[in-house]
Amino acid sequence: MEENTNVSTETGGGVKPKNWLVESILVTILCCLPFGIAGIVNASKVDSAWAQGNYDEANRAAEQAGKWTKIGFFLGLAGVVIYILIFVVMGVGGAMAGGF
Amino acid sequence: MELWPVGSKYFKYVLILVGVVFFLYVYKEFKPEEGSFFPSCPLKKYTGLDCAGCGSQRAIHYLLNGELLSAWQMNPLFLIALPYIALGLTYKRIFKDPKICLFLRDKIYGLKATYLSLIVIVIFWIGRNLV
Repeated sequence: MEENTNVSTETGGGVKPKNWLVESILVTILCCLPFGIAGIVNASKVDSAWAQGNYDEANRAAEQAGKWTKIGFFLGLAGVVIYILIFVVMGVGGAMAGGF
Repeated sequence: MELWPVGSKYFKYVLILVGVVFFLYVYKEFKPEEGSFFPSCPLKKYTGLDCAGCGSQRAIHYLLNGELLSAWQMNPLFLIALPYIALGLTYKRIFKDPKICLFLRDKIYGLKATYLSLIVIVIFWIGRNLV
């Protein structure tokens, strides 16, 4: 996850925090809808708070957005890994006999 | 160069590359609707309802086989979101002009875009279960 580095704004609050919108959408449509939605809602808070000059609030929302997106991401990843492990344990041979 | 360069900075990228190639191979070769080793959506499994992301695995499968129409039928939202997400993850590396980056960050991936995504996802989610 890269940070918001080279893009700075003219406003007084320093660099606008990453809003995690893209990552949240990715999590929403690829694995974990509730966490993705939580991420998107917080992404909207980042931008609205920043636009109003509530820089602390924006940073807090960015933290929340990142948290939910990461929870969704790792949950999805864990799910896939567990699935692969179950598949391997149950036997690739059995699956092949089944007509793959 | 070591035989198993765990500590090298390239090891991470090699690992990611191997993972991505494996992922693409599996999703290209096997149909998610037939292969039992593909994870299924808990919402769909227990309620029979589609979530906004249901069909994405099948869409990936058809996309990798060049069947755009089938991919679209599995999950149109996924196909629409794919280029948007791809640009969002890479634009800082593609465009060096700060004006373009600011425009993308504040207009294309800003507040209105966030509300729009939320609305589109929720409407799509509800709508696809009604049709």
